Amino acid sequence: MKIKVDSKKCSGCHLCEMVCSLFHLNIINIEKSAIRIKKDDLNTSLNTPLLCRQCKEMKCLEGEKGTKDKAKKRFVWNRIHAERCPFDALSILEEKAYHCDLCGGDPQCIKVCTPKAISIAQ
Amino acid sequence: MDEEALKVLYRLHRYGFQAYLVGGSVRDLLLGKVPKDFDVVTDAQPNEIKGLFRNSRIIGRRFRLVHVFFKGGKIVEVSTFRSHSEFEEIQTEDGTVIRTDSFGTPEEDALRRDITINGLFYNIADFSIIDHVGGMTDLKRGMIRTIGNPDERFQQDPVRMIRVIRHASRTGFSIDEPTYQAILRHRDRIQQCSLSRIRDEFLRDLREGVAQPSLQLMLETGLLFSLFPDYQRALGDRSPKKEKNRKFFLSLFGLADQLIKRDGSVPEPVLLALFLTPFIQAITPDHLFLGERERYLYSIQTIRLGICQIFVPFSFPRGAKEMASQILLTQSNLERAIQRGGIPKRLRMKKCFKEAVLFYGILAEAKGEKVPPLLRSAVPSDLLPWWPKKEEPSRPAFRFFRKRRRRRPSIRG
Repeated sequence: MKIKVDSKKCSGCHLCEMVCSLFHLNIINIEKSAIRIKKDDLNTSLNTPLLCRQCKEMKCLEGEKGTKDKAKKRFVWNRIHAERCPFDALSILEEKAYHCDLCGGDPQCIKVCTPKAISIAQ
Repeated sequence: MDEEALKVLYRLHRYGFQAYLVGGSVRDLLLGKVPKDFDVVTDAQPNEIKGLFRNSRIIGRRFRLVHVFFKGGKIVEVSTFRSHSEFEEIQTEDGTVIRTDSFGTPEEDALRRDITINGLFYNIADFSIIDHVGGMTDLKRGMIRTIGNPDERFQQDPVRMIRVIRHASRTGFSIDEPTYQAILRHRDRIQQCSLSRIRDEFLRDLREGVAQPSLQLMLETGLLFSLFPDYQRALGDRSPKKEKNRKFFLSLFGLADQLIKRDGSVPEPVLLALFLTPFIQAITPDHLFLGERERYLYSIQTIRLGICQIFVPFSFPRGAKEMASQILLTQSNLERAIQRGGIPKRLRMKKCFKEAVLFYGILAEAKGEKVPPLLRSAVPSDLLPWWPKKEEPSRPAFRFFRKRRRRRPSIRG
């Protein structure tokens, strides 16, 4: 399972970011969320939601010991792993990175996204 | 040593004045390098110096000094001993700034200078080095140190921080620990300086062929982010690819330095475009759903925004800014031309075509890519030193067989 993004539909409301941090860390802090909305510098209405693509070949964990399935279920990651992501998909704050663990199979961000910019793809 | 500088020094000495060679020229001579320019200090006042040299002119309003002109456009700068620097301002109790032509002694003149290795005097009277500031020891130790307390010096004139970094990169010396710590403490003060002065010092950093070590030190100390806060997004801690971006940014200027060392200079717009590259990359999201034309228009807007945000506050020359934006804009045209397998005439006739290819070549080399022969053949083959030399096409073995003429049968009658 992974989350599919349709950038065209994103309104940039940041609700998904808020609900992500609230669900995992019990705080509302959009910087500590696994999904982030990249806003445009030109003040256009183009917004790009970025989050883990759940790749099969995980470049971020290449050469790491331990099972990758375990890491997939973790929300807080090490910054070093996030820097290896070819899509810049993980959010980084100081030495920590935030990774989408799909909320244990029931993604909360999808529930609050009214324009349907994010949806589940099997 | 330069003949003209000696002429100036000896004439001043002959007329009973103290005259020393000073600054970067003494440092370079001691390091075995060829100095670019020669500065002379003396106890003669500007009017007296002017009286001695017909080929001279007094310049400067606040800080009067004399330029002595020679054949071939050579200039020797002669100044009178001073007690404090041009950029240190003395404030009275009511806040008004006193600007005086404060003449002083040789010791005071040495102490007003920025770093110890620049505070050495060479005396032609007895061919000795006069060292009031411990410059000789630092020169031997390979150390860059401010004269006096670094905290005070940087508070008086924060541009000195850029100069310390430039001298460290130029000579390959290390920065003295208290000076380095003072840079970390006072880096944000740089924003209080005159923007045009910062711009001039910064451009000198880029132009002199030591941009890579300078920018590396600026990144390490955080001075680059104090100068250009927007670069936090591309090269700062919040950037997900900080290390990779920094490495790429520095490799770009490593290649530019190589070119400057070979050719003497790289066009300023190319340097500005190289500097802008990581910022443009950071602010350009991949809107893959946009069409080709829309994406091109979008990139134009992003480049214009980048130039406005980074260069406009420092009032960089308008021509250079415009050319830098043209170079960046032409990149997508070049890529399209390569894909199509031909460079259209309107692209080749562009004013900035050669610069755009130069920029493309530097970028490709930094990424480890190759420039296709199609593009290389459109510009002089020695534009970039790492391009393969143009091979002379081997002449095909071509034999000319003349058709044998048939001999006419002789007519004998």
